[in-house]
Amino acid sequence: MARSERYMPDQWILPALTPENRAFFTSGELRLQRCRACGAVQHPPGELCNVCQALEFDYVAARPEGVVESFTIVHHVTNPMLEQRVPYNVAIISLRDYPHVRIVGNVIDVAPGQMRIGMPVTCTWAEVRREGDGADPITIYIPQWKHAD
Amino acid sequence: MHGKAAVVGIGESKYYKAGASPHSALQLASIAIRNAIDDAGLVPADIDGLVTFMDTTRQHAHLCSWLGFETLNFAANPMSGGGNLCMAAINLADAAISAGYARNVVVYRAINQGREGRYGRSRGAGFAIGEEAYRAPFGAGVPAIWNALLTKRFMHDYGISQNALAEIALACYAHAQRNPRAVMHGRPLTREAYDNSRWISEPFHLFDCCQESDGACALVLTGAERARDLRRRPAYILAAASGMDSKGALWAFNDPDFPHRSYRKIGKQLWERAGVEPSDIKVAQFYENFTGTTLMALADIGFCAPHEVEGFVAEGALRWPNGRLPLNTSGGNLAEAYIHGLQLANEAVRQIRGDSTCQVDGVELSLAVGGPATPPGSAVLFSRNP
Ligand SMILES: [Zn+2]
Repeated sequence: MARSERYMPDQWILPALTPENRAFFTSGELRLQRCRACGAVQHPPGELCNVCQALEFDYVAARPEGVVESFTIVHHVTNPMLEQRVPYNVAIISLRDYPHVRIVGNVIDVAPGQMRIGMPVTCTWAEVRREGDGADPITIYIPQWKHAD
Repeated sequence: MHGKAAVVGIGESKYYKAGASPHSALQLASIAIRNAIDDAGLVPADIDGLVTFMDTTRQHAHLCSWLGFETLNFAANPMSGGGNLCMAAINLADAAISAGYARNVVVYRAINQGREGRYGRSRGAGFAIGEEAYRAPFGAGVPAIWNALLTKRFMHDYGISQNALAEIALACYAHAQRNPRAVMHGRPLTREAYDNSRWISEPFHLFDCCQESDGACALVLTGAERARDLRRRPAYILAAASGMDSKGALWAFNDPDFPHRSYRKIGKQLWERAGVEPSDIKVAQFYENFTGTTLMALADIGFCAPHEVEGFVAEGALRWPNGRLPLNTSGGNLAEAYIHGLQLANEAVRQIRGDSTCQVDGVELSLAVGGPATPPGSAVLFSRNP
């Protein structure tokens, strides 16, 4: 797994873990939910398959490669924690292996003026130790993207 | 499918910038609802149905006790997204009246963002649940950012420039200058000021984003038969539509229609039910939480193809009095007030009555579209004739 520093501030909000999303956020892979009945891959992981409505899933790792489908450069400080972070980008990335899967993320090594729709990207992970919410401490892996040559 | 119910009364509170209202949301609701009932020439005891949407204060069910309604026969508070439900609330009231569940239904929305939290602020620390788990950790915790992501791709796919976004903002601000209710009354917007305003989330400048407001608005609906005997000219519901395509609400931009929203289906249903076409419409109120998604709505509901949007809105085409389709004639979410879009319905009714501050001549049909970024979407088409 390629590692990267977290793009958002250290204490910035984390995903609450659920039985469905635990694989995606704690594996350090693009581990996607796959329906055991029909094989459909869906993201975000859900409680039932949106193709056949089955309730049982396993998880399949996609290669860490994607394409920028859209992006925005955020300038407005929507929370005081972001005062030093703006301007930053938010992107929608589709996966090479599963083009219908779109993941919201950040492209961490591209300047605002250089962002492009169609830009190829590879995934890295920021490791964040999550504790203090009553649950057992656990490491969360936040997927983050870098420009691919 | 048409003419079953009509709007016979409209009302509103004073509209405020977020934080400026001396009144709570409940107090604002009471003012708007009382004004709408007065406008209809009815009394609170006549009302037996109450519909709002996205009322997270949980005061909705209590309101009839405070307002002097005698019996509540129908109550609803749909919660899915936000302003996408504004015209769906009217659709619901029409359905309740048409089915005979209630006789006289109030539809209202009251917001006090000053007290309840401003919609443009995001949470910082902690843990994000539901759909937010896939957006907020990446700094995408507010609607401006979600809509910017949709708009950026829509502009890219269909060759739409910043000029088209600016046209929406300029039309809304121009119309607000004639409307004393508008928070931005007396604050005209020039193209230069638009271009020079700070970025919020590209491609949105400050003036591409709706206001954060405190205020309330309300409408009284009754059956078309009874409507004729009341004191105001009824705005008959010719057709309403609310819904989305299959898988239209898959989280975090995974719906198959990306970057489009649910308007194509809404438009198809609306025109089929009404038996008219977009070219029959001379004035329209389109929900603009952000200018970009309004362009998407205009195209997808059927006014033009997406690649024609730039030309459709160019050179003041949306501006009263000379534009081909005066849009948001009271100033809209951008410049009148952001009452989650329901105030657009009040303005659509004024266009039928003939008393808008930007009145279009000879209005027979008056369109109001809710939306956009969160499915299901909704729209209502009012008619001057039953
Ligand atoms: Zn399945």
